[in-house]
Amino acid sequence: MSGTLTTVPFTILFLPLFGTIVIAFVCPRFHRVAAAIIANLAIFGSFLLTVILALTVWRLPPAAQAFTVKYPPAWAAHPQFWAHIPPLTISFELRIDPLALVWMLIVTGVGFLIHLYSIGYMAESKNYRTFFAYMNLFVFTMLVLVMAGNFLWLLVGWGGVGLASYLLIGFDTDRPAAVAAARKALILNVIGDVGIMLALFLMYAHFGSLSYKEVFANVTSAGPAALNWIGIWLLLGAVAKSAQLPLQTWLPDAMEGPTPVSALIHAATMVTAGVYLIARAHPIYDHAPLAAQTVAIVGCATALFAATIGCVQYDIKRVLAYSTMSQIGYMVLAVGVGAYAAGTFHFVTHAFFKALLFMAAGIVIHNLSGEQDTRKMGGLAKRMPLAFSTFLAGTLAITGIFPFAGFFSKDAILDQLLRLHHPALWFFATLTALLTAFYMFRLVFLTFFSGAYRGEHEPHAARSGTMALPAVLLAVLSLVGGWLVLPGHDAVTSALASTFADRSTLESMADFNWPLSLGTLALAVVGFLAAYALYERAPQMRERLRTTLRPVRALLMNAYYFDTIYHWLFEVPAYTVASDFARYVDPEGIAGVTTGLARTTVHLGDTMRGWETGYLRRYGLSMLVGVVLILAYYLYVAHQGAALGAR
Amino acid sequence: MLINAVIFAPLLTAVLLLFVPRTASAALKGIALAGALITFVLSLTFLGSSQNGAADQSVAWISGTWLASYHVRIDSLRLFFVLLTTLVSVACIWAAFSYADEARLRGYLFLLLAFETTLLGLFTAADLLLFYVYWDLMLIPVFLLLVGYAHSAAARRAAWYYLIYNGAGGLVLLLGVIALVAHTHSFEVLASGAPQLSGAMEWWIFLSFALAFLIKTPAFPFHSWMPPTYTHAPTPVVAMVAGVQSKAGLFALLAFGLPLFPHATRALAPILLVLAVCSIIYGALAALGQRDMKTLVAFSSLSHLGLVWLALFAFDITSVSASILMLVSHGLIAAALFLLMGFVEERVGTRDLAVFGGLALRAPRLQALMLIAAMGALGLPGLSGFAGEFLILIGSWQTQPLYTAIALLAVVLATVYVLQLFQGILHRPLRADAQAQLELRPREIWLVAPLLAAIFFLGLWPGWLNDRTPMAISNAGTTALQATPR
Repeated sequence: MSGTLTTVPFTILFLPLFGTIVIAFVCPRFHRVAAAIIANLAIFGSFLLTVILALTVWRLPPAAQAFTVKYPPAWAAHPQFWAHIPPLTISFELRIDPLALVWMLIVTGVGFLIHLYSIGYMAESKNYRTFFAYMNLFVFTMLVLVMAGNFLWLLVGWGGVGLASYLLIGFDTDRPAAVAAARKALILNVIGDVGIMLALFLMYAHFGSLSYKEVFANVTSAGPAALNWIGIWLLLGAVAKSAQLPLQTWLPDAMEGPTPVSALIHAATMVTAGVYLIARAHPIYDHAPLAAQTVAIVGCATALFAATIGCVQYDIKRVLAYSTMSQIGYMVLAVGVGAYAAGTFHFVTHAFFKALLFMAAGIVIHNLSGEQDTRKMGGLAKRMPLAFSTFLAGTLAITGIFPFAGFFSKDAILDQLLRLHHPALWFFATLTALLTAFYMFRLVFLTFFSGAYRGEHEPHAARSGTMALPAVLLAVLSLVGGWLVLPGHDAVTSALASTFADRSTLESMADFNWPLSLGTLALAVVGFLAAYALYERAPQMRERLRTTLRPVRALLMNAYYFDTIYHWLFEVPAYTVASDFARYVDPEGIAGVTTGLARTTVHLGDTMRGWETGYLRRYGLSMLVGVVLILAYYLYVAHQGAALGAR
Repeated sequence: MLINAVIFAPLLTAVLLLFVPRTASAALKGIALAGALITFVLSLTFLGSSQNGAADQSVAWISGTWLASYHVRIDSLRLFFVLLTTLVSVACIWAAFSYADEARLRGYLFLLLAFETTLLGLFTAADLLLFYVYWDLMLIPVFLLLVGYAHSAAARRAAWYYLIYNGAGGLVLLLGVIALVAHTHSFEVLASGAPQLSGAMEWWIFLSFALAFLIKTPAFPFHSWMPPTYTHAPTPVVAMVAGVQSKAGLFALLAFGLPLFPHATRALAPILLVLAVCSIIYGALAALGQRDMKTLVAFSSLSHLGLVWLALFAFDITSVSASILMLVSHGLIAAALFLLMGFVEERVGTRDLAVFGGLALRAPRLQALMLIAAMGALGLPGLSGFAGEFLILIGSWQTQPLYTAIALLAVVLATVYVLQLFQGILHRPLRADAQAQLELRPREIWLVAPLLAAIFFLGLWPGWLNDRTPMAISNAGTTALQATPR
């Protein structure tokens, strides 16, 4: 194997970690800008190398496009790295293949743009260095996740991104809301980790290995029941990380984090890890129809569920959070029905336009001194032309307006649903597209139009080149990113072909179903018109609608009361039991039995000898005597028995 | 010879301290730390030799009807317990420098060093009599430190609780030892494989051993001495008790329990598995309900060590092997956490998580160190806590899926209570009347740093430790693994 293919992956992986270490240990001596520069250079270096690696790999013949790397070669000879307890061996290996490469390109590419954006956005933060150290750490752990060559290292990356996400959501450690949101995110993510651990235990039981290569090669040796269970437990991990039903409640709260964090972690990369996991484990899902079907249903349900909530929320970042949830629902749905290429394609375009939407929203929030409530915005189109035009580009992309990226990727999913004979799922997914257009344009109108500016602080137009440039670049990508798939030309499926070579059913997206695409486009226009009517033309109609639909609105405003239900179902009972244990059961019950035992012994002695002195040591001694006597008796009996037996 | 040097170097240092004037506190500190460091360096030399076999020394001690010898060894089973002891002791003796009462510093350091020797003696004892002597000797320094050096009524009560409860355990063990030796006529029980005991006899003797081990660890429901001791003991003492001494019971099970009573361990496994799972879940829930940070970590220890009981009685080769990793890892994490909490308590003057917080604002280094220790306890993949947990559970799943699934619940609970601890100390707004000096001093950083480095190292490469403990499996594990319950 050529040097590029062994050294480069490890350099890509460790550059961001190196960045973190340098920022943490060396940078405090220098100006804070040094931290930003190092962080950006590290990610940019990773990105460049990823591009080189990708170009190299995609030039190879399909059979050679997937390979496992162990580095340095000397370590490859040490099977005990990571763990070696015969018969269990888990090594540290990377697997590079087209699927991993797509993810690596987005993680480092979009990741770099967001790092660039952060230079300006975080300029006033007191913990500037810490922020960049955490951001580099996140990119490193995310790369571990996607580059891992076995499920154990995938889990290491999985846990690592959870930690980075926790640290960044709770970046303002003195703000109680941020602290609570970070805690919630980590707890729900750990539930997912446990799901993956269970899947791994089952894999080890059935395949004797956790390596992708061995598990996937022997996948048919396990029965469908076992594979379904593995699939379901992996799905538990995926729903936790990707904020799908029923573990979705942490994502809206995660918007407490700084906006670049929301863009990078809670929109473009980490939250899509569930999609990656299912695509990665596709040989399992291909043989586990029940699990795959569950994946599809969860994705579809979440897409619709989150879209409905998005229609009534006012916080600009929360609306984007629900739209993220909904869009990831599309991806999960796609990989659930086996349309892996379409799911991956939507991941790519979504990373562009969702990062863009967050950046544009971030510019608005930044210029309004931290205001996120759209009721206190309005009329900003003229005051912030850059934010408006980029936000509009993102909106056109997410709602699937031709020729923006979402038009191609979302249609690809809808089209594949029909081709793979899932009419019901298709129906709900299409309905979601209508709702998406409505709530996104509603957001545009509320923020940028709908009369004059309603806020208290005068917006200050702080211009920052490092914030504008990435937004513009992503706006361009939100337009052209979709052109990877054009009629008669499908770059995504052909790029991924070698990863999914074992699937005969991977349908090409090149063959457009034009009536369907135009129909969906018409629905998006309907959504736009509805938003236009309600938020621009006829506010009185909106008032009327609000009164007639009051209960529905309350349900949606409270996100179907999931938080309340979980609070009463899990939090309250757990804390009640815990505090009862801590206050009564342990000190009085269990410790009470011990002291009670001592006291009883003492009372017995007291009746005979008047030992009652009140000294704890006396009590204890009595207890001791009692216990010793009892055991001595039984030992004596047993010994006698043994002696008799020997005779 | 070198073994004895390792065992007695701390005691020798302690005796040396007696010749230094009470008031020369700088000299006292220097000598004590040097002694601990020398012990650590000496113990490191066994890393190289362990792969070739055991370092062993045996001298006849008592002859007659009942034989006993002074038999010490450091083999692959014992090596990492010895290393854990010497490493944690360096940190703890260094941490003792900040002991407030200068006039009594000498006694304080003397007892800590003496405690280290008893721990090392226990982990190297290959003769049952020697083992038993250290088992009980261990109680004295801890008792004296609690009763004489903690300056609170609660600590004095905890001292008596500790002594009586563990003393009871020791007596039960003594009974078992006598019954066993009455049969074998020698304290050198490990030399000739499992003794041929009758079913009931083996059963009862194992029960007495197990009871003593359950108390010492402790495991549910024999843990009542633990919360007061861990909460009120001075920082270095609790770090040594939670970090090292709490491994004594499970070490003894590996070194003596499993090889001596292969059939009884099998037969009693169902009961011990239930106790293990109770420890895991009960400990986690009780930790969740705590406001006192040290009590919280005390109960988390109950939960984490319960996992090792599960590992040993699941009788799976992977989980039995991983148990040593888990014990070492827990020792490092618990010691680091208790030391850091000690520093915090010195600064804020309370252990109540509800009345302070927000230290991160002014003590970013404290936050960084606490983060590593807390994430280790939480079981974050990539740190040693995860490696131990994961390898234990993947093994125990193969034989005990139900108990393993229940134990996984504790992983989620651990996240909740660890965050309660971490955020309670460091996050939320800082109180207005907070002291000026909140950040860790360089000494405090450097004394915890080696423990945290080890947590990282074992998390990233647990195979390094596993590879050096294969003997442990053949000694302890296989006898019981292959036995059938009688």
